[in-house]
Amino acid sequence: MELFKQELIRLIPQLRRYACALVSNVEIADDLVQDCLERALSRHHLWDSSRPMKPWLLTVLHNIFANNARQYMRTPRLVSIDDMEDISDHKDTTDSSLTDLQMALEQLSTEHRQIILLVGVEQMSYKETATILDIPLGTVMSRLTRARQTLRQIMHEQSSTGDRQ
Amino acid sequence: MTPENDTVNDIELQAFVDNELDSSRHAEIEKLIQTDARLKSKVEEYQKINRDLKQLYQPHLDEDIPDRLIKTIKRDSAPKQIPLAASLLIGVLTGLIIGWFSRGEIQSLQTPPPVAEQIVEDAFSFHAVYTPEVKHPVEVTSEYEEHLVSWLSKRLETPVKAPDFSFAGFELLGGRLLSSGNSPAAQFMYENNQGQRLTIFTRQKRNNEDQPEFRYARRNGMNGFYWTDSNLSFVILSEISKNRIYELVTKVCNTTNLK
Repeated sequence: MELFKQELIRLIPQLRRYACALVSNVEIADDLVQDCLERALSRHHLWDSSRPMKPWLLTVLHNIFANNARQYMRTPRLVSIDDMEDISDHKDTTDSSLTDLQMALEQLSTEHRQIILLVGVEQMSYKETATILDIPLGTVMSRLTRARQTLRQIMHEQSSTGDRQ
Repeated sequence: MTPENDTVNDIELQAFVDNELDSSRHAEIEKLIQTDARLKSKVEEYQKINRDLKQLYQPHLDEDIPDRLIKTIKRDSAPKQIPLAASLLIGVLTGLIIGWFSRGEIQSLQTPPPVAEQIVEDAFSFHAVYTPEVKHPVEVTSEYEEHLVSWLSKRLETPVKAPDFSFAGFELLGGRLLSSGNSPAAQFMYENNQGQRLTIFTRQKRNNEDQPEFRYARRNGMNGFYWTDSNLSFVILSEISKNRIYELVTKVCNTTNLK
């Protein structure tokens, strides 16, 4: 159990990264991570310790999100200014193409955003992604392709509107 | 374009970018890319998106982990050998005790008061409804600012004013009378020369609605801050970056009696 907990703590930053990207509000993202940790702890006997924990945790998180999507996507919960400064500090040091990317991501459907993040950021294999999202491998590939095409298209549109202004 | 290139569809290209192809097909596509500039630029674009994505979310990995998450893991170490019925009983009793001692506190610590949720929700809705308006974004234009302000102050039963954001290039367009949770509310709208708009939504402060610090909220690409002063509650919203809004609003709060 101690090992399980250590591994859980080690993975929190990655869970938070995925959750923050998913719901774009740190406080709600942390709610989601907290729910995920609680459920993982209560079901730790289901974890096969011979396999990496991250895909398993992301599956848990995804199930919670899918079952309560409405709750997590609801009206912005207010975030204290301290939390907010943390994030925006980082953002200001990054270049504007990243801001464009973030804006484009926010325009994607949750389904598309999820798959792009799981593969592109969390480095999940297609097979792991299929398990996490509970969809066939072929769907992972076609959905990912559609998602990236849409993202690319939005970004092209953004840059052409930018030129006109 | 050679016929072979046609066989590389977008799905396969994604799999190439994600290193999901078997090594022989990977090598084949790698070769094709060298001779097909269109294919190459597409692959590079997808690779860049992946790199940028990682960079974009990297800051979250460096943040301190919130205490509550660590606590979630640490506190889950109740001895498991206690018989089920006994542990249930302990659980119920602990719940009762914690519940009793923390009554009234949990809400204020974990979530802002519901009235705040309401005004923020209303501010986002009215912002979304009126800022896209080309012809009638406001009810009374800034030409009659004096009248607008005195009318809204009268309806809100407390002095309101339209803060001056011209130092940041935002000029007042005007305002309108609205409502929030059954009480009168006012919206002031501003615009800069790039056509970006900003609104301030305000109504009388409710009892127990003290929020002297700014709190941040975001929805559909709009950034907003909520705070209260001695009489009024405010929500400022715009599509511009949260840092810029924060800068604007703190400046105004320091130089006028808005706060």
